[in-house]
This record gives sequence, structure tokens and C-alpha cells, in this order.
Amino acid sequence: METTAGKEVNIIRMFDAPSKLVFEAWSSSEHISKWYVPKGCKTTVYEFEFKPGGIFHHKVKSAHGEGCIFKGEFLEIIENKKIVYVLRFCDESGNIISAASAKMEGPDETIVTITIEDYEGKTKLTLNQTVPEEWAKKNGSYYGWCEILDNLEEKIKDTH
Amino acid sequence: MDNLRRDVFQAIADPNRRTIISLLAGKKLTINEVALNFDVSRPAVSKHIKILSECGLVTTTQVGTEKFCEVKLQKLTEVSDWVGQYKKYWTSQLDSLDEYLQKIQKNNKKFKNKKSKKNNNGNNGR
Repeated sequence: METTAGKEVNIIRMFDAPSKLVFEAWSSSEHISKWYVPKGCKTTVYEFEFKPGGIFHHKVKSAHGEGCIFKGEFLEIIENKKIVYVLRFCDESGNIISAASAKMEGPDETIVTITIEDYEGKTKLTLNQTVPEEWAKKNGSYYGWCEILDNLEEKIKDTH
Repeated sequence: MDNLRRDVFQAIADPNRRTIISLLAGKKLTINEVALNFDVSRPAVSKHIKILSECGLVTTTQVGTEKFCEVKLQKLTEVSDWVGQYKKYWTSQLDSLDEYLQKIQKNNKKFKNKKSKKNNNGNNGR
């Protein structure tokens, strides 16, 4: 049994499909309602607006009948490459509630980042789910590094 | 894994059992010593301890004539491991995505084949 006391979920999967199609599967409520569900469960999509700030309101119900309603909000979307959304729990009326109230473990709010890339003729999908503070730390430094590397590239160009 | 999770949560749902766990935190006690803290009878306390040991939260060891109880808090952290739970959830979901993508591509191929057959038939007889 895994005993990760960490704060992140990291999964890498290879799909035998073009990256465009993989991205498409995430991008419409019609597609999403057909696959966005663990085995043995059923997903009902109440609202799905695929754009930054858009709402992703859905219910996942297990075979035992236990259900959980999520209200997600898209933070960032880069076509065919990246999808970032925050996941929160809500009650039957659509009000945001804590994880404990939803009878779920873990944080009240998590951020899910999906990265899609072509890889040797297939598509590599990375799923990261973490608590907002960790995501902010990582993304802050990520953009910081990008800037540093850009500057370095400029410097190298100049000296040649 | 799911059964274990349900059992542990059922086990700690009872306030008496939660009290027993906190009594045992950091020290071993005999069943008698645990029972002293309760108004309920010793057999009732014994039953609670049995439920706790069945889901692995408490272990009992016979030392001479006494039964000592010890709490295994590791079990609680193992089971309330949200990362592990979500990982299972996402893995299963991505399995569904995989199947779905294969299905779409298969259907697309069929559709393309049908289309090209139709065109060929149209061109016959020219």
C-alpha cells in the first residue's frame, strides 16, 4: 500500500492517439461526459465552459451509490498543450463546501494541471494535482526560470 | 483497500472508540485500564477494542494474565492518504480516456472507409 504523505499526485500516461485528439477529448462536454469517469462510476456534467474562468460542474457517482459533486474552474488553457483547473467540492445546490462536508479526504481545493505533448509518434499526458500553495510555488519559480533562460539565450546570441 | 477504508472510518465513527484511541496514544494499556475510563461495562469496552483490532487500528498482546492494547496510528495515516486515493481515481479515469480514444479512432477509420467506398461506387460507370 502506498503511503505518500506528499502533497502531489503525478501521473504520466502515453496514449496511442494524436495530441490534437487527446486535447479534443478534454475540450467539450460531449466528449467529457463519455470518458471523464473512473471505472464503475457515472459522471453527470452540469456545466462545462472550456475557457479560462469557465466552470466545470460535475457529479461523479460510484457503484455503491456514493456521489461527489465537483465545481471546477478553468485557470489556463493552451490549445493542444495544457489545461489547468482548480477543483472544489460543492453541495446539491452548487454551493462550495469543504472536503470534510463532502465526506471526502484531502484538501478543500486542488489544482489539476494536464500537459499534452507529442512523443515518438504518440501522445504523452502528464497529470499533476496539488494544493494551491505548492502549485503557486512551482509555477512562480517555473516562470522565473524561463525568464533566466531567455536572458541567457539573449546573452549568448550577443556574444557571437 | 476500499473495504479497509470503510472499516476504519466506521471504527472511528464511534465516540467511545475515538476515546479509546486517544487513551492509547503513546502508551500501552490493559483492557481493564482502558475500561476504567468508561461508565460502560468491561465487556462493552472489550467489544469496542475488538472492532478496532479487526481493522488494524489497535493490536492486543497477551502478557501473562493481562491483555495489553496498543494503537497503530500508522493505519490511520495510510488510509487517509488523499494522494493515494486521488491517484487511483485519476488512473482509472485515464484508463477510460484511453479506451475512449481508441473507440473514436476506430469509428473514424470506419467512417473514412465507408466514405471512400461511396466515392468509388459513384465513379464506377464513367
